[in-house]
Amino acid sequence: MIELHDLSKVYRTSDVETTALNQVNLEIEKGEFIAIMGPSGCGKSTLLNILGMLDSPDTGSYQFLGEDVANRSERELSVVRKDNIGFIFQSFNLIDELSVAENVELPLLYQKMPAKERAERVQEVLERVKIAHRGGHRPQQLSGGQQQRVAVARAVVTNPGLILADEPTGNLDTTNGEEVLSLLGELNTDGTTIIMVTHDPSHADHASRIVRMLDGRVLSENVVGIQSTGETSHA
Amino acid sequence: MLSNYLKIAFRNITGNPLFSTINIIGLSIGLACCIIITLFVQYETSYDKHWQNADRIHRVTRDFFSNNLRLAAIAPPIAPLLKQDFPEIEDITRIMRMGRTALTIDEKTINDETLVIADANVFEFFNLKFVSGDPDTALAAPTNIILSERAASRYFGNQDPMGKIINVMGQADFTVTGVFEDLPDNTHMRFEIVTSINIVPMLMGPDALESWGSNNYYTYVRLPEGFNPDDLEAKFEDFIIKYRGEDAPNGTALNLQALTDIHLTSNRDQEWRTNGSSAVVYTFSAVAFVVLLIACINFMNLTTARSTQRAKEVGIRKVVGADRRQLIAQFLGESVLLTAFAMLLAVALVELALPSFGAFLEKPLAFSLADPGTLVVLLGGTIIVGLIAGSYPAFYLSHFRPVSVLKGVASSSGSVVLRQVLVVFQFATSIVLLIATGVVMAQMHYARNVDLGFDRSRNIVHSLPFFADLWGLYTPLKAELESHPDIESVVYSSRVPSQQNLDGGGYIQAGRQAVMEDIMGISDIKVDYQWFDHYDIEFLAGRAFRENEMKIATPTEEQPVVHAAAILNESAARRFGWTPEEAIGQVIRNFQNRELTMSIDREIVGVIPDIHFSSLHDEMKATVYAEPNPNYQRNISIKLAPGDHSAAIAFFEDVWTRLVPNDPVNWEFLDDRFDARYRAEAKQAQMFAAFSAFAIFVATLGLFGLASFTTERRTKEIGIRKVMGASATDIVLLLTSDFTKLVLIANVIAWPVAYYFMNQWLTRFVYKVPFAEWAWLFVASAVVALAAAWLTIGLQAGRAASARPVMALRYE
Repeated sequence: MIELHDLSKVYRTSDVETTALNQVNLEIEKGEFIAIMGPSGCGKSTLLNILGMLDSPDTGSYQFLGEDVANRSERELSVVRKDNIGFIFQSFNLIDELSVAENVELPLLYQKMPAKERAERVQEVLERVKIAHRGGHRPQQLSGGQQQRVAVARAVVTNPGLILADEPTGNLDTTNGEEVLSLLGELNTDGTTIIMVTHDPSHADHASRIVRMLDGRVLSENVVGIQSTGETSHA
Repeated sequence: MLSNYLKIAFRNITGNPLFSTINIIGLSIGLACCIIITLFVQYETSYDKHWQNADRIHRVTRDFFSNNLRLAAIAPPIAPLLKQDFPEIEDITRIMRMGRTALTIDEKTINDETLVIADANVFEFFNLKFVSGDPDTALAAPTNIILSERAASRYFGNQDPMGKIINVMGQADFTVTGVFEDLPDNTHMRFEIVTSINIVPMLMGPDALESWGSNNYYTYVRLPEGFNPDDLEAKFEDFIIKYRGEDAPNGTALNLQALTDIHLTSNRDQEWRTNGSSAVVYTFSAVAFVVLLIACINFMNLTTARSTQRAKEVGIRKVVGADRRQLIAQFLGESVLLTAFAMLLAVALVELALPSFGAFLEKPLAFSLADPGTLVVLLGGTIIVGLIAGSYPAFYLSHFRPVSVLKGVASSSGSVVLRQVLVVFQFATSIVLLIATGVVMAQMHYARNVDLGFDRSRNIVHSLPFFADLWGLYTPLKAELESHPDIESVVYSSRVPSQQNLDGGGYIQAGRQAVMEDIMGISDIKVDYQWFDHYDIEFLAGRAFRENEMKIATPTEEQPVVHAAAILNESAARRFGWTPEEAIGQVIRNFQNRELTMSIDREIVGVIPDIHFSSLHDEMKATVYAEPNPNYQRNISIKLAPGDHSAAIAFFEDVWTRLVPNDPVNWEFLDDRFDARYRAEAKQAQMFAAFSAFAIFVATLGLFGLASFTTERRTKEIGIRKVMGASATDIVLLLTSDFTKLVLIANVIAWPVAYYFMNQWLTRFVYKVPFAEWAWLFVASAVVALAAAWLTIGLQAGRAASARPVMALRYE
């Protein structure tokens, strides 16, 4: 599904150059659940942003579903994005002015889905994440766990092939965190590819493969349960 | 999708009361100003367009070069000669205003200002509709009189006026033979009562319609479709030569003015009434636009200032699939919606303000929402203003990259600079308006208080009607009035100060060969010998008239040259090439006929300074003061003793009513008359002041919003600074210093602009308030602008600075 070859990204300010990604090579198959781990500043989020086409690499190639998207324009990327990718953020990123149901409905609006179908679809997803009873509430009226469930619902409402989750449990307590992770697990079981950035090794265990990063490089990839050689501990 | 946008827009508007209130109030004030000014401009540009064939009608006007007269009216014999010589003139008509006229109806005498004498074709010419009577015959007899509906109801109430008798000035009885529809208000003409031009020989002498010197007849020509008026005007010089001789074009010329241009562009001597001015129309259009622009800038500034709040939404929308065009459409939609709210409020404001604004301007301005045209304009205005106000924020907000804004690192340095530029613009325009208002007021004050060269205080003046033959009454009237202890003196004259002096004669230094081109046209005023004393006018040389110099001087065939005295003003002495001292004892010859065979030779006995006789609009003319003449003495000036004037005025009214029973008493304070000359400017000044106040209010409103967002954004910084030991004063200074800089820059930009424009404006006045008297306005406007800024920002800053630092630090 995804192939990265020698992908690099450098951030420049007037006098400092920071290499966020350095010659990253990575392949991700359809249906995988990938956890990306690494210390702060290792390039996890940059990688996720580029995978999600929110940002572009400086060099290297990025094949998404067999097509090179590394040098596409923002407009072209937004089309690919809205048809294929759902996002979940650590800070939920719900629109405060919209109700829970309206937040979830938003991606469908941009896909120009008819209203009736939209309402059914939103109801279906809200039920799936067990938040349907709060559909009319505003995000601020919900707990963190509930908000993140809404964010998950919004990410999956278009049935994307890929879900990118940036520390989805970072702002949640253990119980809520586990709940969100099991939701992601369910989605994965249903065939959705999931790439999740996380700090928490126990959460990484929900993944089928862990990608470890340090200073912008991929250090190792290991299938959960099999220790890779040379790796000693979790970041 | 649209409903989603509307929902978000609506919730954004209701969810941010400060932001929305500032924008809606600002925009509604700007829109209301624009609507009101549009109505005003629409009205001002509608003058005389409603007449049938308005585009083909032109007014013939006349210039006299030597005494710089530009008359709106011409002499009566010109019209028939024009019609006879120029077949391209389809029709021509003459109207003469009678001024104040005493009408006697059913033994009651009333002053009327609306009587005109006109050619019989005037109704057909302007397509004025008759309500009763036959337009073809209504003016057939010289003693027929026709009333407008308004005049008919004024004098006859519900009775049928047809056949009723009106006595005019005690001169003749007229029979009402028709009633016509009232003239609309938006015409430069003003008349309600019309009588035939054929009455003129009876009232003013058999040759009155043959006189080329009586330039009182407004004359209108209708030209064929597509005919270029310049082609006719080009032939006027030969016309003048044909009838007035080879030299005549050096002294006088005829011109044409398009009927529809008169109201906004004509400012001739002896206009029907004070016309409008295209400069005023442009100025107020510009000012209204500026107020709206300042409000639009508020929207731009406040929207971009709180962009960080919207940035997250932009990021999320982009992440879930919105493209930039969709976001631009959304934000533009929001600003249009907000503008729509503002428009509703603006319409309410207009409905509230229009009646008093119309009354203030004395114009029947109308605003009707029932008119589909109005609705289309309001809707179009809403969309256009919404798009203009929303354009920059829409493009700015929609360019955010989702990665950055979701991380919360949206850079807004570009928008900060632009916001500062826009704030400077807002304040610079407000300061220009402030200074402009100040200069207009200063000129008004100057005009009212400038030393006119004579003492106009405690004077009441009474102007006599056109036909008045009261020469014989002057002596008893004066004697009786002066017997009252509260009346200091009574004098009469052909003109009183505040009036435009259009009288004049041909003069040459006596003893020189009388050649036409050497003869100078100089204004003259006939005065009582005590006139100079009455008005406390000082002499530069010589003396005032003596009583024995007051005999009427009239040359005859037998005695073609008579002798009299004259007093010149300084300009007149200069035109003869004399200093005031040199002028004394010189003799000037005042010709009394075109053949130059009859004259009055006047020995100069005194020279006075130039006095501001009419208003500061007009240049002080070279003037010859001469003895009274029965045909001209139409004004009485009465100087009252200091203190309470009521007894003296009551006495005057009583004496007048007794001695002149058929002329209703009609006095005015001279001060009021002078003020009336500045009425238009005084109203403009007030209007200007109001619009400037709106502009500054809206700009300050915007600054208040901006300051509150800035303060909010810097809450954490304020907290840290306070923890580090900053005092509340330090914080207030910190927050106000940025805006202070902007206001100071605005001043630097505004000053030269204001100086330039106000110098231009002052050129309208011949005598203008000197710069030294308005230089302080620059400093004052800076102080006002700074005070407004400090007050608004200081309120915010004070609140932020006095909060406990822990609150600020907890904020993030």
